[in-house]
Amino acid sequence: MAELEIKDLTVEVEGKEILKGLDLSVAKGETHALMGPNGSGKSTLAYAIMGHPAYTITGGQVLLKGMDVGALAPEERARAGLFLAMQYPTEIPGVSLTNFLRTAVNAVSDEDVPVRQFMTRLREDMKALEMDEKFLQRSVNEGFSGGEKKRFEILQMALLKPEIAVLDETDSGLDVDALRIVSAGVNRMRGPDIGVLIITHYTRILNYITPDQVHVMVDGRVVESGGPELAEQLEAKGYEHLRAGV
Amino acid sequence: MVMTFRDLTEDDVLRVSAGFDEPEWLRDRRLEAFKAFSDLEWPRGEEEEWRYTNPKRLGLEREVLTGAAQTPALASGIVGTLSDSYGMVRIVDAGVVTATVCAEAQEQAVVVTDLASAARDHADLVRKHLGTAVGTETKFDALNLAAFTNGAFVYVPANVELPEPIAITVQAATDGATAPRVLVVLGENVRAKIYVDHTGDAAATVVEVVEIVVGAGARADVVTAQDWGDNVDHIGAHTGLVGSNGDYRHLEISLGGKTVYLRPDVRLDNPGGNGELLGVYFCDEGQHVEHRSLIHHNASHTTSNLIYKGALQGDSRATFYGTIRIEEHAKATASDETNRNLILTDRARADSIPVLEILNSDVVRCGHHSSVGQVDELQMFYLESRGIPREEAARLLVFGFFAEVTDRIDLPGITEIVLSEVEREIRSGPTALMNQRRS
Repeated sequence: MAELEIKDLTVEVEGKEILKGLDLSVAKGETHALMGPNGSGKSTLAYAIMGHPAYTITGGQVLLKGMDVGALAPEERARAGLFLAMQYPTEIPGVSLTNFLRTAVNAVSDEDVPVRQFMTRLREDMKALEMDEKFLQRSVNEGFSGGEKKRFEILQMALLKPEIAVLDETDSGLDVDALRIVSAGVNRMRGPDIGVLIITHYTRILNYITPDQVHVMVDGRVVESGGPELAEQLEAKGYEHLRAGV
Repeated sequence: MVMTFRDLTEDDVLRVSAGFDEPEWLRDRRLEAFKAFSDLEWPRGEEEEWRYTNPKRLGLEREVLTGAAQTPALASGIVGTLSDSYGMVRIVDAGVVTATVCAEAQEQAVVVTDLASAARDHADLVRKHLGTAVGTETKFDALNLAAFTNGAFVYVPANVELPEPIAITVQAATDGATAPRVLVVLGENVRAKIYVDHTGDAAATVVEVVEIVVGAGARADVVTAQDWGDNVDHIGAHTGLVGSNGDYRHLEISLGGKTVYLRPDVRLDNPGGNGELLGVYFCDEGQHVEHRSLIHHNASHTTSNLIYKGALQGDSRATFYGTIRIEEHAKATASDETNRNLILTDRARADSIPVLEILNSDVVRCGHHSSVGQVDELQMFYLESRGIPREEAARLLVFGFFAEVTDRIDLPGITEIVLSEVEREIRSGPTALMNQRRS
């Protein structure tokens, strides 16, 4: 059974249908890339999977380990093992990063992780992402550069240990060094216990994180699936020829 | 006949004065204030000052209490958590039940006592300063000076630095009306922390004055906190009168009560004075809270900064009305005022009204910021998407909202108390925010 299975999903935003019957499956231990031009509905899929209140599922299903999560609150989806690294992480002034992370880790672990143990893990994960400890004094995402925000998303993924992680345009706005660090962070987490869905416009990140499968999305549907070579074709030809085929 | 504030007579004032065996000058001062009181009208609600709080809510028909209740003082509120107070006055109803000051402070000639004793034992000081920060301009100020039912007096002589706070507790234990008055006089270059705490569950009306006279070059950190029960109406003037280059830092914490009308003012009457006014309020079902602040730049090179933040739930109402007045002769002043309100439920309502009265053009800076808003749903989603339950996420956001104020509080223990009280408030009331998913 696939860990994440999306069946004939239709999603509306402000009354406009963006996803028009999307099918996609990601099994544990696999990394998939979902590619597509701007406006094809990639981020809509990411938000709909996580339960953003502005995205309404009007048909189809999002199944996590066989369970339909469509009616669950975002926090319940997170506790069921879903994680979304956001394209535009929200700034939350006044909420310290440490407090936020500890609250989140305790929430998904269903127990209070001892402070010392938590801090040890946090420091290790931050070190791996080349994040300075000074970060811990700051408020969540407040005044972070684009690269810092993306690193912080991956740090959260490392701490929360999801079973399915969706990375929405994690490569956007990153310079080469930051992309290398973030990709290394994701690669460290890959393994038999996690399925990863990388949503991206460009193939750049796929040079660092090699996917098992690549899917191409156009106008709210997956129109083509294949191996890593599909990404290379897209790199060479662009999305135009696919659009013509729709 | 029962004595009430509504129908206060000159005989009532004389009787209160005689009850304290007051010196003649103080009795005359009360009578003068009573004259001012008689000349002023009771607010009806049409006045600008009373547009947002209906004066009918104030319970002025309650019987005025004289003397202390036989109830022991509560060890609660912010003061209850202070381990060892340097000096303390406990006022219960209309009586002072204890007034203590440690030996070390006594050696430095620090005075911490009840106001009636001070009027006899430190007549020169009380006579000189009583009514200087809060006089008889308004009906309630005049009422308090004419009929104050007891109070506290604190004096710190010049150049003394207090290592610990001096605490004053005001407790409403018996149904009725009281008019406590606190007079704090700090000499030149003093460093002092003064905490004034209000608690009690009686059906009470408290018409209060706290006046803080800050000497030249002195620094005062003053906290006035109220965590009244649901049946207390509180009208309070909390005013700092700042000497040359003096620094007055005031924190107003307002959590309880039924109808609360507070005037946290600072009077910058001397050059170089600074006033920092911070405020935190949390209102829930049935509460009506107004903060009406005046920052008066009445001398050159005076500076001020105000930040008031409040969260509201249930059907509560809050008003912040903040005036910065810069007189014509007050050159080169700098001031800033911020009020932000966080509405947690659909039925709560907040008004935020900044007023700038600038009478000269030589102003370094004068700004104001005000807002009334709801919890940001994008922030909620971000927190929830990390597995944090909605209630917990709301709590984090409310704490984050207050951080702009609490991060500035440099008083040991106070931030923790504020946050734990806010947490208790959030948990106490079922709120729409936490129960209902908005789209």
